[in-house]
Amino acid sequence: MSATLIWIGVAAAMCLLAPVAYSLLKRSAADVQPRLWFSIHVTGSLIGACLAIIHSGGQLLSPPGVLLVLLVATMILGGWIRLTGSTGFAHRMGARPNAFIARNSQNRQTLRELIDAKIDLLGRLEPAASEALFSPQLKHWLDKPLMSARYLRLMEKERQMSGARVDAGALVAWSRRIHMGLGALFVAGLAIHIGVALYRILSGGVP
Amino acid sequence: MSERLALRIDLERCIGCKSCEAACKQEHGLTPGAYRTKVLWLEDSRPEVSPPTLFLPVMCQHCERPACLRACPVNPKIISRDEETGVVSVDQDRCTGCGECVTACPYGAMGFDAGENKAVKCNLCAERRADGMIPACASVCPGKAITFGNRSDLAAEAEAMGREVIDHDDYLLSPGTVYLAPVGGLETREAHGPVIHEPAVAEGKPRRSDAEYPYGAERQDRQIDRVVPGGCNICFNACTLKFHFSGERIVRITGNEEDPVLGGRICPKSQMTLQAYENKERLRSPLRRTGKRGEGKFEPVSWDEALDDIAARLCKIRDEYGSEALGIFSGTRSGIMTNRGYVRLFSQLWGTPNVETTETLCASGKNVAYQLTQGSLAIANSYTPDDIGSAEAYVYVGDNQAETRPVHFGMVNDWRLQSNARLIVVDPRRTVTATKADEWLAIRTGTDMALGLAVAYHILDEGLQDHAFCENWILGFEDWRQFILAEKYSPDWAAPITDIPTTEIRKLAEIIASADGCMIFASRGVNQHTNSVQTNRVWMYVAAITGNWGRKGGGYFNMSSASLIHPNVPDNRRAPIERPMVRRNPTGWIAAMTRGRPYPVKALICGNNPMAQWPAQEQAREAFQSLELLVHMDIFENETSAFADYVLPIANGVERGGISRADEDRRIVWNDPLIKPPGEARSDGWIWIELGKRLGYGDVLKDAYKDPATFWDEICIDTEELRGCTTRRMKARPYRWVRAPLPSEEAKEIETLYLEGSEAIGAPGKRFPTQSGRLEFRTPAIANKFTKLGLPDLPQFFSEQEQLVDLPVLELLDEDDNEGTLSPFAPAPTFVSRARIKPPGNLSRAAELRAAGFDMELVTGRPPAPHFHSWTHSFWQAQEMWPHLFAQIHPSRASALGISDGEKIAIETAYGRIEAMAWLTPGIRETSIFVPIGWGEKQRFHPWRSVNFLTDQTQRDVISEQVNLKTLLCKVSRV
Repeated sequence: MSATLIWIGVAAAMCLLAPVAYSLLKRSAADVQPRLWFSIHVTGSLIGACLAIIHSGGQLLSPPGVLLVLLVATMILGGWIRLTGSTGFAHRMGARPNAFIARNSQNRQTLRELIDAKIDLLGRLEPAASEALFSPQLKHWLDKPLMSARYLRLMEKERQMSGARVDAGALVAWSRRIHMGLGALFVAGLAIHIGVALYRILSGGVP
Repeated sequence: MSERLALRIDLERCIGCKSCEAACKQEHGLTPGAYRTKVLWLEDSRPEVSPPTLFLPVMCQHCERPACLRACPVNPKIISRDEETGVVSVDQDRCTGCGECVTACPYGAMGFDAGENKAVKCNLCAERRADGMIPACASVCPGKAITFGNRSDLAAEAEAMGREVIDHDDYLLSPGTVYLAPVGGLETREAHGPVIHEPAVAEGKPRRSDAEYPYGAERQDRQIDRVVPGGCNICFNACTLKFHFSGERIVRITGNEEDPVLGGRICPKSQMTLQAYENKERLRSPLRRTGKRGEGKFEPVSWDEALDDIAARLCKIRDEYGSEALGIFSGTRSGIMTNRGYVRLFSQLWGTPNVETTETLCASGKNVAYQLTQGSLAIANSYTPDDIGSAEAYVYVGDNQAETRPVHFGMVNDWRLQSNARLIVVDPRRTVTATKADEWLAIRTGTDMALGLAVAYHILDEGLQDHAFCENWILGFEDWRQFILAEKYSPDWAAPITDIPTTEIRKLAEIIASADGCMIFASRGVNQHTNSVQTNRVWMYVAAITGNWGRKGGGYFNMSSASLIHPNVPDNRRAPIERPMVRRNPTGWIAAMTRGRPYPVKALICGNNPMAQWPAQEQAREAFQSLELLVHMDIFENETSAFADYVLPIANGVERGGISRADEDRRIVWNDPLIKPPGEARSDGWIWIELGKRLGYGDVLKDAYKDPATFWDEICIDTEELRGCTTRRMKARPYRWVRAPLPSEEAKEIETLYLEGSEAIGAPGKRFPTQSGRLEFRTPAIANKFTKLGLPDLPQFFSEQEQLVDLPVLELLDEDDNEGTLSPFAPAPTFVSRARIKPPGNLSRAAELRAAGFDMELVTGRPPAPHFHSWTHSFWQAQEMWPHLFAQIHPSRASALGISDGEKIAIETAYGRIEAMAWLTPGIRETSIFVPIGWGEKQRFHPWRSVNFLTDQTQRDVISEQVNLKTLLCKVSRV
């Protein structure tokens, strides 16, 4: 691989860090413009993907080529969410009329117990917070990851009981999470790819 | 004390008109697909359960534990909850559009702007609250269903009113919005579980790019710098408005809260006229046809080119066929001042009797009946608490007021809830009006006359009439009483005809007779029949004999109060008219256009959209193909434009100014011209005057009359009834209306006409403006008119030709090709067919059709409130609310035909076939199918063929020339 292609790969990796930065910054309480960073993550991904394709030299069947496929899949899904999935979000308005009419006393009892459990756990996770408004942020994940995970599980359980996510349909409900999952996989793969390449370079071999 | 702010939504008062949706999108500049408020129509389509449709406004519930807020992954959260007011808001400038809040909200109350990729939600109109105003939705609600305030106060008021607050906190989120259950409760629904759904026809998909300014513009780009009062020019509710300007552009249309009657309430249509003014589909220059007629190919030309050529071709047609060969059909979009003013003057100068509006398609039957009975077309009552609001009973016969005049119905519904007045609706469908009723009587279409006769029989048989009123104020009462009893029009007789049980008929009669004030409303369901005049007369007589005429809180109310404008050109400028009008109903001109019989009509100048609106579309289109000159004037290109030689772009609403539509209760609302029409578009008045100048009429149709105020003050109101309705008097009021009749500028407005002891305007010494000064049931003069047509003068029962049971029908003895006789009921010499009432028999038209498999009753009518004929179909939001041509069908019948909700079906009559989307609803008779008017195959969004491909122009009431649009046999199948 030529030096030019290597440097293009480096540039691609830099660009593809933009989504990572976006994801972290918007959860970090940093004073940023989330919408601006959303645009940066889209732009960075697009430029990064183009550079990565050049960097690959068309060798898609190689192990790093799988990374490229992953990247493209992540981007296609991201594009779909923006162009089509967002319409699915819009259609959720007014999509749950029975929530206003039907009653389920049993559900209420189970929910009450769940909320009590959340309040109890929150007393240890973030004592000053109100359960009504709280969800774990980046700092909680860094400080108390297990407790945060337990809290998140209770939140998800409450959410499941409302049925809203299920009602939205799999694509609308899960596409963003799949997009994030694919992105995370890609970033992990990219890190391995860079690690292997660096190792080879440092070993005097050809990356 | 909590300061938590909230909305209270009364489901008994909500009529599903979606005015709140329209207000919300205006206020917040939302584009297609993005909602902060959405109104749902919920039905249980299983045939075995049948609760009335529930209308549910959905918006953010401003929960104490907002699930949306917790789901937001951004830090700090983009969604916040104000501790003091409890209002949950989203910071749209920071939202990244991840949609987590949307999928977290269990109420489905989180909006999303897919174009801008961000969540949008109700914040109880924070900007308006900051300016001391209430949220937009609450400010416009026609039914007073939405109230804004402190939550604890709203809940306490509900308790004081004895109303049930719906507990919808299944998710333990403590939602703030207070929903009041319908008076009948929600038990029926809950007993059967959560199967309520919106009809599949309820959501259209105009694109974001379809929305023009001010929708989609940032708030700072639509800052309001001045407000001008005016009125809506669409329907008979004649709502008063305020036009909000940013510079020279209208950016918002709201109700006028200074109006003492309407108080700022408006329906969605008025608000959506905002989508007409900057609409990119508007006609902008005169167009001349370049392709074949009907092909729709045109080239733009100048006004001079167009009008010079039109004038020349008109003269050529006049030279060859006579001046009567010109027909003029003008409709609602052109406005009353055009229809009854400019057009009337032009036709008198030109010399053609063939001039008509939409009256014979809508309301000529009731007009003839009013004229015969009370000697005037003015409706006596007004929508005020003291008058209509004081009734003890409201009976609607064939009048779906909630969808056709939502603001007025909202007022009636409010009054009846306050006073516990009874509400009874007679209709083949459980219309929105019927969903609020104590009783829905699902009558067989076309038999309202039989019901009226039976109600009258029971009242007279039991002696329940107002004896003093009958004796003192009705001429011919005793003749009629004897006739009713002799004919034995009893409830037992009527029950199998109407499909309404005898006990229900008796009950209805007793309610009308015993109520201290009963308002009997009727409308197109009674009018659009071959028995139109006689059915109207029967129900008028029912009102009269129970003393419900010329009193507050009682009356016969068949809207609207017809226009009293009738200017004339000087006698020496009237062109001679050699031949009578071909037929009063313009669809009766089809033979004259196609075959030149009884004499040729070769040119037509028309407004509106006859190629969707006229019955018998196949024949109507063939007729239009036969014309030598067709000029179409409209605001949008439509089906009719395609047939035209010239399409002329007209101004609309406040682009041209003038008065509103004829209002139901005699209010006349004034609009100044406030903005310039788009491109080269001009007011109708300008066009008629310019065309007139080219024909030498400039001395009468003066340039000065292009100014609507001058034309109104100098020409239109020179009558006893209107002389005081000057623009000066209207403009002196912040709400811009006066109530006619007003003989002078100083005269006092009359809330209720014909009260005992009063004198009718223009009829000195008389309570009622008839010859006798009394209501006239039977007089020698009236009898003589009916005899000329071969009909009995007292209303004798007959129904439509196409019924599932054999009933007496009206048989026309002359086809439209023949002259027939001269109508004794038309205001000017007019040919009409003679007729006779034919008893039922096995060889009837209906029997033939039934044998051929036509086994359902087709009923046509108005769609829900956001639509009005074809023009609202060019408004993206109306199409978003009600996109598709639908066909309401009972689930049992649908099941038998294998039809499911939202499926495309075919409807076929003896005259044509169309397709529509099935809407399964238990709110319709099992034998009926309802298809609304207004859709066309060339409309901007969701095109469908007009229902008038299924109707027949020959089934007409010979007395009024009203055409039957309500009862036709059809067959239905899956596509």
